[in-house]
Amino acid sequence: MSPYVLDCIHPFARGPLPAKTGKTLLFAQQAGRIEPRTASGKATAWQSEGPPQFLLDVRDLRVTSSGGYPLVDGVSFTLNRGETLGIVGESGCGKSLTSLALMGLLPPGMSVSGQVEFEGADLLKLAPATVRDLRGDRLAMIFQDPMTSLNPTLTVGYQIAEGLIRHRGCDRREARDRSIELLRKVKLPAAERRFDEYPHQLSGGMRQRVMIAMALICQPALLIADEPTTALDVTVQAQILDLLAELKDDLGSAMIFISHDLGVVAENVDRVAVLYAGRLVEEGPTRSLFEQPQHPYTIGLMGSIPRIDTTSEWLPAIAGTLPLASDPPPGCRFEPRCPFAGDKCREESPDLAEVSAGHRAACWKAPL
Amino acid sequence: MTGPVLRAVDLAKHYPVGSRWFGRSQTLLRAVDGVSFEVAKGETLSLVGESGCGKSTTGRMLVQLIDPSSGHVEFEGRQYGAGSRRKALRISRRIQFVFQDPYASLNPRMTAGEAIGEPLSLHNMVPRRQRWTRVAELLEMVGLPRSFAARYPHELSGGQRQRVGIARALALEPSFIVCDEAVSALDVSVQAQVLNLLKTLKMRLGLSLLFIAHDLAVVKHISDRIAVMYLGRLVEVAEASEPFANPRHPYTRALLGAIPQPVFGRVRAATVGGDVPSPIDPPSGCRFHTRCPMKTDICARIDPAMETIAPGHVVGCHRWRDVEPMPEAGRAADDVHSARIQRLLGFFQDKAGSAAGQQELRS
Repeated sequence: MSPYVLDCIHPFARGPLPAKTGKTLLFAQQAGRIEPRTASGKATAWQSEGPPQFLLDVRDLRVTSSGGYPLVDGVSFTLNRGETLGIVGESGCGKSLTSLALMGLLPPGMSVSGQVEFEGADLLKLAPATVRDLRGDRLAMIFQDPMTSLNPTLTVGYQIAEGLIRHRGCDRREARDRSIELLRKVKLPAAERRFDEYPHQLSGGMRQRVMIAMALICQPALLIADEPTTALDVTVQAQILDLLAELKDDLGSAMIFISHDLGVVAENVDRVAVLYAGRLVEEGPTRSLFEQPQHPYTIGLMGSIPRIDTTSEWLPAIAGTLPLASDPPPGCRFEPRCPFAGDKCREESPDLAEVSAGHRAACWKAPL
Repeated sequence: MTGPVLRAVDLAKHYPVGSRWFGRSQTLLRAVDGVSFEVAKGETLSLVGESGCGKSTTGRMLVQLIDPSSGHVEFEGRQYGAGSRRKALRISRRIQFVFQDPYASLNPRMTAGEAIGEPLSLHNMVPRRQRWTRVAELLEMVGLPRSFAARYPHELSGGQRQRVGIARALALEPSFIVCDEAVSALDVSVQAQVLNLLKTLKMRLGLSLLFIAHDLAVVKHISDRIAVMYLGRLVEVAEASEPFANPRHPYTRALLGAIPQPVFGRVRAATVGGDVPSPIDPPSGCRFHTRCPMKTDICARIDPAMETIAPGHVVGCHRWRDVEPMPEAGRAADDVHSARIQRLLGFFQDKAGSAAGQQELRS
């Protein structure tokens, strides 16, 4: 078995692989796309002066579809270092688009505006090459479905080590050693053997562990986890949640945890933001949000969740369906489904207003 | 409730895997390996387990979508199963299936009305002239306006599609419906609507249901009895409240402990490690022993028999007496939500109720 990571032909490589000289060139370097870098020589162009107040400061983020419909409509939030923010909402609320916008990975055709200040620089204004340098290094993402987001033609080891080689200028052997070390940390059984296996040889839970290792290999300051456990069985989900919490504390990364499941969020995050139809409707510390929810949507969502610890027969469901992005209601987005709605709700859209310390809700009727 | 309307007897489905030149493959994937249960008239039995445990295969064998390798099904006095040569059309009329994925299970080239009307014409349920009236009736029964008959699946949301799937299953006036993860693909707020709808329909039409799901919490709201499945076998069958208050199998206990709840400060119970083993070469003895926190020597050697430990409560575990009870189960709703949330949630029920009322008035 070869100790070299890159012995396989990389599908995106241009030209033949260099002869084994002991030093590995990056493919991008061969192609003349980037300057060679060492582990310590970090790009500094994106850093602006002055210590940033927050790790991440998102202001008035808007994502518009190619048809001109607002899909994310003026979302603002902040994130401190080492903090975990949960973003909750149902499908179509814009939570995944928000995370893709932060990562600079929006599908073509969508336009984005607003400000995303990360470590003092506005991610939306940086050159694509600079964002590429940050992505996978300072900010990383764990995707929902580990089967479709891992490359089936590359070994899982290569996919993890790639980050080190690209961002840290590690050579193959070092990248391999550090990757295997991290695979042990994410509790992948038989890490050394698994390193040379392909994604299809792993179970769903193991693939998600590989995804987590991929995201954490460069110790990012911000980790975005987009529904990291939705595709998994409950017992495996519990294992992965425990692992994520442990690793996050270990590395001191901040995390944005995106989920449709209020239950998963309740035990894993410091603060929760609830999205509905592209808008932030409520945001606050986890305890305050779960014990004193203020927005009718949050309350309805809590009631809709089947619980193992109750004996009640009927679930209080929210009537109706999510409004279409092409035809949003003129006032509050939740008004057509809201049992508390009045005239003002139909006409005017409410802004987020503080209801208690650090807890904001966008509702004319709040506090309920 | 009277005697069982459906009885599955020792159902098994084995798939040969790998092949040799000439001759049959020796290796078998034991997707379902000897499952027996009964469903009484008007009862909802839920089949719960993680992916790959064989719950969907079991459901499909009941509606003759998959032929069992051994065992048989008794349904309304008829028997079918291993060796039955022809699909019994008359049985398929009485037992219907709701599929998991509302995006994949509706023909994109057929309108909702055509999808619901097709079984009506295949089985000559109603005279041709009355077909559309019947389709409209069915749509209203599942809470959709009759104008939706002209819509194509892409014009419907996930919840609406699932309602069409339910209407299609109801078209043949079955007495038994198998719902295979019927709400798993839906958002929570829509999932609650569809769960409530299934419950209402079941009571109104006197249906029996086999409700297949991976989520014990979802199942709790709809079942009369719950059967927990692991790696092709049943491990625990009990009245719906029992597994929650008094789980007697370590796997049921682990499943319950793993479900995250929307409560601040709840400490999740320690879960089981590892993955579900391969059904190609299942573990010896008790199939759960490789992951079981309570295993002893006997578990790896001897396969535990299903043991009746209380009326209606059957468990297959050597150590069922030692399983810890769930600390938080069985509380009333007002213990779980604060009085304030409880009061506010009341408004949601009213709104949903009045919407349904208006719909009935219109029809």
